[in-house]
Amino acid sequence: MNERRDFLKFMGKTTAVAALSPLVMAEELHSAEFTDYKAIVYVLLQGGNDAFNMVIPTAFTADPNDAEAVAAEAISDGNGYYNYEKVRRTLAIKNVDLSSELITDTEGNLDTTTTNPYSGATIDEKYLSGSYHINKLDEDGVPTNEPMGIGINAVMPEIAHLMNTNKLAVIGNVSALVEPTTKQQIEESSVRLPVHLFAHNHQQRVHATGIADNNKTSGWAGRLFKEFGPINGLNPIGNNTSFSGYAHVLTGNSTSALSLSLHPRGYNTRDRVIDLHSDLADTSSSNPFERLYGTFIQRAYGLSATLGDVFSNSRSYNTSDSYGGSLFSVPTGGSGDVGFDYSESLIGKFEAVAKVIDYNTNNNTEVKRQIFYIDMGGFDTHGSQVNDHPYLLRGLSIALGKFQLAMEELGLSNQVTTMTVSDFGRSSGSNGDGTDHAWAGHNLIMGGAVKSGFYGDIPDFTLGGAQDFSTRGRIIPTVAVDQQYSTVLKWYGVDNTTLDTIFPNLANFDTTRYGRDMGFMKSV
Amino acid sequence: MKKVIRMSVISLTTGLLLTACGGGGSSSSTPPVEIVDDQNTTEEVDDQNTTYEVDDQNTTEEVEDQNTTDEVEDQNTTDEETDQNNTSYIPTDVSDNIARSFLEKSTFGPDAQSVSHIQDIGIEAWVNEQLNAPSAYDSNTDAHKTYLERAIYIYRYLKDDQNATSRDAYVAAHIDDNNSVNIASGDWKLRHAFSSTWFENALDAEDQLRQRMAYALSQILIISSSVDTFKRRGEAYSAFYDILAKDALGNYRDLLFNVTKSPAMGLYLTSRGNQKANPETGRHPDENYAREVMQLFSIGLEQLNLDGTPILNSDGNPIPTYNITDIEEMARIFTGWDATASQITWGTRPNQRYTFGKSDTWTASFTVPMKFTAEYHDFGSKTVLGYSIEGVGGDAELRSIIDVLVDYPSTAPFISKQLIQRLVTSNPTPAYVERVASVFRDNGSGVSGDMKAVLKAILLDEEVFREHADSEYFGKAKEPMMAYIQMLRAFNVENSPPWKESYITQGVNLDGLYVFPFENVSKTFGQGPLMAPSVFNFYQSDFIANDDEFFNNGIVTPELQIQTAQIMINYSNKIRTATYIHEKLKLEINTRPIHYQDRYIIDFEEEVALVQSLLAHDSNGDIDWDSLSEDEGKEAINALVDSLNNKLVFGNMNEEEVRYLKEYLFNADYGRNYSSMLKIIRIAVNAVATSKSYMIQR
Repeated sequence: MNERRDFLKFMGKTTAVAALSPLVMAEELHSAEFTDYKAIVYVLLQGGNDAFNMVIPTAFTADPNDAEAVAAEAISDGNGYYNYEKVRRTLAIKNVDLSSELITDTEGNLDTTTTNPYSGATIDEKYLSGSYHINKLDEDGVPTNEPMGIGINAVMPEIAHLMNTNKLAVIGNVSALVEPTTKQQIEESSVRLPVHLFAHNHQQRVHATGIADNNKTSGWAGRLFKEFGPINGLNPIGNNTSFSGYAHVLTGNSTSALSLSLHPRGYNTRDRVIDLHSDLADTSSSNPFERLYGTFIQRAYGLSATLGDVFSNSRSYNTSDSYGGSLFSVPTGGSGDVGFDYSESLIGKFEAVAKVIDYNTNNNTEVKRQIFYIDMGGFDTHGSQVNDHPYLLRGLSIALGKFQLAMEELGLSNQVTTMTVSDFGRSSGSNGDGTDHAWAGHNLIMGGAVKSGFYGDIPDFTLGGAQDFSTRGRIIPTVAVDQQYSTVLKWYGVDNTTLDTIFPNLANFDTTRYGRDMGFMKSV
Repeated sequence: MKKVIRMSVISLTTGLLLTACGGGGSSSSTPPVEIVDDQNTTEEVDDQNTTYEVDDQNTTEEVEDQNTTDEVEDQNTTDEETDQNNTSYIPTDVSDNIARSFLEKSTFGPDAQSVSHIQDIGIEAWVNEQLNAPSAYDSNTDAHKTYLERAIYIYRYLKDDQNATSRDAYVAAHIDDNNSVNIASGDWKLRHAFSSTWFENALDAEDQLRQRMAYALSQILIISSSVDTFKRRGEAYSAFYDILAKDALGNYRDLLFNVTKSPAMGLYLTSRGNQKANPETGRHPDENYAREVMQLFSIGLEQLNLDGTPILNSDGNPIPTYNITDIEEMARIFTGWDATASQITWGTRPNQRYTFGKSDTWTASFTVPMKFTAEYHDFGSKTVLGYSIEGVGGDAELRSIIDVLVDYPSTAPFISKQLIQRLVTSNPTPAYVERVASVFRDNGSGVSGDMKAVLKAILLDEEVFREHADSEYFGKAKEPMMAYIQMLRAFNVENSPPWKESYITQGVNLDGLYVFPFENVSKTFGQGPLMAPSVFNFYQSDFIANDDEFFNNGIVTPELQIQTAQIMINYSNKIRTATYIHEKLKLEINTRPIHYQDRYIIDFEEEVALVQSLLAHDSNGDIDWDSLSEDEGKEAINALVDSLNNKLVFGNMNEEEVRYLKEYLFNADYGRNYSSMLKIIRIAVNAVATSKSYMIQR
């Protein structure tokens, strides 16, 4: 095949290899040694997820039967349900426990085919109707009768089920932070803050750099793989990979990621011109842009050859999704659900990630460590939140549930950990129709190696209160996303010295409640 | 804590308006004048520095150090002289390559007609002619319709061309006098109608400079058809695009005003139906538009010098332009606006009366400006960026805040630099940015935001003409969609081929139309008109490709952010397909439904004529290759490659590229008839139009 030959020819050129497979670097590096395969899936919820309606406080400081105490709590600065309800007003999720709706099949998987939690409700009604209250797990990962103090939104039964089966953790009140930060310090200007707080692109960027006060530098995963050195062999499909376009988090000074589409297509080769185009791209040019573009063309040719192998793999999973459908199918209204368009793209992106993982663990076993970047858009719910946010949370829940089942079937559940981040959380106060840009929110961590639980804090939502940046409920985080990253990366095999190199602000949190190991990963 | 910082106001020699209301009204061009509105009590005027309050920790001295008045004044004087007295760097003898290279920056690509015209009249005259060309917006002698008119015309056409009675009934029921389309969630054919209109203007319009500028603006003042609520509302984005195309050669002040009132923007950035605070319900104004109008459409996040570089504090960090209080105050200004109701009401729909904030996509009109309803507006006074805005409501209040934004010191460099990046070069020198930004601030007659003057400053700057460009980093990677369009224009793209009969029997007669299906465009190129994935465009202006040289030198490559391997493969395949769509083959194009395939026609007549002129051929055009000597064959191939190098790359292919291509074509054995000659041409065009030298604009 022409493509194959070109690919091999291309692989033989050292300069081009550096461009194609940036894990191979000219400079001499120590190379980390790994014997197993582990992957992280970094899921960006674009636009700023309103996580305060995804994970709802269910604890009461007051006795619910004591009207006076309830009223006092609603007025006071407590962080129980009443405080939440009072601030959220028309956007508040009801404090109704729906956990009896979670039915499992004989395999122990969530089954929504027999008892569809949505029957008789529209999704916005369901969204506001209550939450699946979560109980703490015992040492063996079995649920106890003791409430965890949180509920998972009614449109996310898969997430609730994952928590109950010891595969999902919630990181509470987390976002970008430079150092531990209080309202008083902000008012006194005595604390360093993330650059351009509340702006989408810059908060996405500092989540990607892993350095809240530096939006200019490279992505943390890019820097990490520079530290790792050449660990994954030469096949381009062993690189870190984005299925959502350019991924700053994966981009380092001399490392970059593949950016693939969900249904990769190769070159039309009927005219047999690949040789010619490749030769033209390889010519010497004095123009730096041309030189750069030439290496891009070469990279495209190299990939074109391999992608077919990866994506022609159409494994059919034995496991069914929670609707009883084939695993990566997109549920429709016909499945007895509320009949809306699910987020096909997030399911498709997870399916593509699963394909690459499946391919590498079976055919490309020199690959040891990978990080994937995917995203889901639409979370900027300034308006129409009760109409839009339910769809987003439902789509996220379905997609995460499917991917975890896929990893379990592949026997890789303990080796693949998925985490969400978002630009920022949204204001605890409502603007009447939605919520505005804010700061802290809650993130999700999923995988067989994850220890269920709620790690972090339910904040005081009070407008203008002790944890509000200003007056609209832009909640100050109490956990830095650096701590979330470092905990996952410790499981990934990254030592403390490297963590300090990658996350220069991490040490600022060593003396906080959770430190650099928040404890949500099972000990290896 | 509030501290006072001092911003240097730079275009002092020609006067600067820093007013919270009015602005642009001074007719005085000399002598140096400083006009400061007395009403702005927060301002302090200190000789040549305007001071205002910014909530920041930076001291006056630090900023001043960065940016002394004297230096600036000197530079400005020099520029003035350059602008007015020395344009000798603009070539008067306009070669074919110079003409093409200039048209690459100022149009959707050189075609035979524009090249010969600019050679005839000269570059400066051509720019003036374009700036004053008739358009759909100011002349009814112009053949072009507005985007909205044309899109609706096409929509009717696509809807039902066969049955005039049913079409008229449909129009009466669904399209009102404002071309507002009253359908619950729009119609996918409206998207195609906008797309056809957009490509028609890009490919064929006479007012190319206006169209190119509108496209550049569409990447700054962004709405996007990528959101669900909006996907099928082609009439909404057509009306929005009309604002961009109209004000592209107007004033930035009007542009921002009209964009702010656009119902399409109101829908996209949720300012539509925004209401004043209600302490009882906890409601407060939606901050979405308030934020983006500052961050993206005017002042930007960081305070800038006139040359576009950030003003730094003592720690070497940029200084924010606004804080959260500015956003909250700004949000109050944009209360009380909502889309109007469509003229067509639905008897069976309960919600047919106009109710603020409640008009749904059935009943709202997305083609006429949003309407102000006093009841929902916050009439208190607001303090934004240190300016006090009186709560007078309506257009007057919008105008006053837009004046603040347009006159804010960072706006001129922030917008000017992005326009330079879209049209000319990714990494303009600070001096180039400063020359353009100065004109943005003052067109020479005391008017700021004059887009004609800004465009002229961008295109006729010394840096545009290569012998004056002193950096190897001058230029930019082409957007993939732009590269495609330039290729089509180079080969005489046309619509209205006699499509096969079967189309017409499907009820869709495409005669006279371009078809570029929406999803096709965005999936192929990772971009498309009004198809950005978010308000942050397809790519960010500060994106740097992952490459040591670019990274270490801080050379930005915005357009490369979307040039993934897959997009490059798609582009290559698209060009290959295009080379099959030429005159000889037009009747063979398949008959798949219109949303699958681009429809246009190009020709290689010039290339065919060139090859035939050099080689003996029979009456069928078939060349008897066997009887050709090696030299004769080589001569024809050489001439073909050289002509394509000139036509597409303006003579800039590197020596090796030219040699490899010639060798390849000469050694290829494609047969010996007319088709084989076309095949050689096709392969040559394909190779050149996907080459790295073509994909870079110099």
